[in-house]
Amino acid sequence: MALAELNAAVLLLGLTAYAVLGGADFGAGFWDLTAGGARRGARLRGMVKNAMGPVWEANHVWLIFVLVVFWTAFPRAFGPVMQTLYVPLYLAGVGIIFRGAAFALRGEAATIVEARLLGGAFALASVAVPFFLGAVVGAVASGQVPAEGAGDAWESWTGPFPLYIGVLTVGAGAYIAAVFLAGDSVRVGQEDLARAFRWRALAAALVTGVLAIAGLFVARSQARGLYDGLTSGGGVVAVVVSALAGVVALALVWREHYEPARYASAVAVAATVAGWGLAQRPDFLPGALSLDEAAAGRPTQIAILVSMGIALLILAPSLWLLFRLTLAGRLDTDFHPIAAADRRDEP
Amino acid sequence: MQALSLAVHIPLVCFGVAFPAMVLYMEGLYVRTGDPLYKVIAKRWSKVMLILFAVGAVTGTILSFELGLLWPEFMERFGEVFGMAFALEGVAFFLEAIFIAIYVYGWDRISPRAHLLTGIPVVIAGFTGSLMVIGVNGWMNDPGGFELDSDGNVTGVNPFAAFVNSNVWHEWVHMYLAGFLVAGFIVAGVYAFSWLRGHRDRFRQVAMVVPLTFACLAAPIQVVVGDWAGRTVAEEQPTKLAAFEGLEQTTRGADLRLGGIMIGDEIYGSVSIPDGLSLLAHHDPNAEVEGLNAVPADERPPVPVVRNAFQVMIGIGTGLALLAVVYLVTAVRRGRPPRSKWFYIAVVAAGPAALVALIAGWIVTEVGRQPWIVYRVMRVSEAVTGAEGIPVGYATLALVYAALAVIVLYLLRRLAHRPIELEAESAARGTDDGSG
Amino acid sequence: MTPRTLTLAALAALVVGVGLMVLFDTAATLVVSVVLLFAYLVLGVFAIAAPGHLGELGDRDDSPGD
Repeated sequence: MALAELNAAVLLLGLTAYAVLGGADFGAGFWDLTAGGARRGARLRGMVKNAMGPVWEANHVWLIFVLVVFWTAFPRAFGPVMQTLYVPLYLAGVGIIFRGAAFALRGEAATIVEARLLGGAFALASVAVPFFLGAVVGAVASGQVPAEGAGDAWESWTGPFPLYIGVLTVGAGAYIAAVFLAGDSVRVGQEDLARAFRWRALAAALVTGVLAIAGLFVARSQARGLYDGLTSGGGVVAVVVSALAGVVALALVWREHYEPARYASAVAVAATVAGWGLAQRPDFLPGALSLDEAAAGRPTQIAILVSMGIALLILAPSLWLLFRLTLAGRLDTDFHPIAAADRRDEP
Repeated sequence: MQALSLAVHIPLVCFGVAFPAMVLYMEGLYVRTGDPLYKVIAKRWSKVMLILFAVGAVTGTILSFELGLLWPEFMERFGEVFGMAFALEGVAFFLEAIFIAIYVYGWDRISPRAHLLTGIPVVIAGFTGSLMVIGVNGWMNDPGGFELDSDGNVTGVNPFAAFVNSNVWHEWVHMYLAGFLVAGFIVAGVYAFSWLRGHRDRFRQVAMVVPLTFACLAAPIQVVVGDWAGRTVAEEQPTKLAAFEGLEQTTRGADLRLGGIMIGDEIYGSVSIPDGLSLLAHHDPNAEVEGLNAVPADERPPVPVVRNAFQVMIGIGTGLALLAVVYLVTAVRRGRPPRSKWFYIAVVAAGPAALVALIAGWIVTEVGRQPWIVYRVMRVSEAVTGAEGIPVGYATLALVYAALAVIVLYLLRRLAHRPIELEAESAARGTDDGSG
Repeated sequence: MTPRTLTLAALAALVVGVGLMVLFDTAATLVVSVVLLFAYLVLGVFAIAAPGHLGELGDRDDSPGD
């Protein structure tokens, strides 16, 4: 009982990290997409690339982490989820290929056509991937996945609720990214970019906030179980924490304290993910499969917890080193705008 | 589809596990001698390493998606048995991602010694990560660490017992060495090629000799490790060994039939060594070698595919080992690589050849296990997804990978064509142009 | 260590490692042989790709071909 919940907590922790760090990454791609024409958006794009460079791989490994813990600890749920939601998962997968490859290679692009093609692929995929992954989460949360075999390949995730979660995920990512990027811009001394990202952060916060509130109503009609969970017990706490952290982050951005805003907005997203977990406890697939039913055998669960503990001992200091070096600007490259024809890169 | 992704992923893995060691060695030379040439090479390679790692990370992510998308039944039943190893591989991979970023972005920003140190976790992570993944494959060949109850449900799972199976060790050593062969010969081949085209400077010499040394040292021992692998297979999966050799009947004192090509049930153009197979597989010329007829026809792998792939691997492996011996002897006696034009041509050819051998070896172990996905427990057909639209997905993925390959090669080529950045040392900028 | 000692050490590791791997079939000997073979690899690299060797590679000491 407790064991399965601990494992679920590990899974949610990984998901939270992915939502915050990966989300910020995808969000940065969103701003890249909406930065405007080649000349106007050049400086913004340069900043996006600069900020993402050293950390994006580490950010994306969280997804692999989530997947492996998922199938190891909860194999009984993994099968149905994969069989039902293979369409959005496949699309997200293709998006990840495009995005990762395009980002890694963009630095080497030499001509206008190449840079546009790679940049476009990167930015579009940055929006598509979180949308589809969000839709997957939405489908799971609204009980569209049956415990046995496959649910409907399309209807399961094209309902209002999964699509709504998809949009919300994109919005939340964009918001976090804007906050992070504003902080990064200040660090490399690009005040005008900091202002640009500040406005974007405020706008994204507004949109995401409205979406989140609207979301409660969507949930009430579409995912009643989730709504009930969010409005009672631990769910309420999570919702309140999330809202408070969101407001605090907003105020901090408004007053241009970007570094603390980073953490406040991370808390807001983390609380949302935690709220989801609390709301649907003790079910893994709402209405179909409980945590215990989905879970692997005892030895495997213990083994996961032990190895994750060891992993934490190794990874935490490493991650800390990476982020400390990054935030201290030790890994910054010289700032270059990315105009279409520009191809300076100095990793 | 999985096969396609793996075929893309495996060569990248080779660079992931073996290339960092070479880059690090090169940087070590710089720290030791202070000669900026080594640093230029190491720095340049580290960029390539980052690109390949990134693409490898992406294909790796896709692979874990595909495990679920294509083999839902397999994952549902056995995920808890072998998932552990994947979780640890995830950790190793994480570590590699963290330090590779610090390493590549940290040039000139942290002290040379500290920078060198940040590279070490990358090497270690590649080392352990490959061990974990191979652990899963070894388990598929020798499933253990669980019991099946009367309904075929998995019970009594012991993840550690599943990991420590009879196959993991030789598969891992074999794979790790293969990483050095592929990465080493390909990198060396690139520089050997430009040597042949008349670009003969010290930069290219050094950049060729170091990876070539790694690869050539690994090649002869790969043969020995391969022999060890063969013996283990003979013990654990006799049917697989029979498929390697196309051995129809269980035979005492079986002959070894080298080379040739197998079409249908016949082997053409091979050379027979009396009692050779028994000698190799069991170190006893009279030992009995189990043939394909030991199992029913529907439990045999597609023999011609396996045998031909096996012969290709053996043939190339032997060739590479010979090339390696030529190089090693010359290098030790004269302190320089051979000067013959033919040697350089051979090095250029060795890269792609090693890659072919790698893929062939992978076909040998995977197809050789057919029709089982979990050896003698679960058939591939029981594990595969029933989802429709697989062909569509397959076609798009193939296109995406093809595009990816073209772009990567194109960009790497240009990276290589940039003028050597010796001057970049002093004037940290000005590396802009690549009019090569 | 000089390249010469390194070379000899690498060779020794190779011979003993291969011997253990081919002639015996127990876990302990296999582990030792794998360790020895890796040692041979590392020692060999340091012996052959040593700075002394890399330095004296001239660029004009052969070009009969072109």
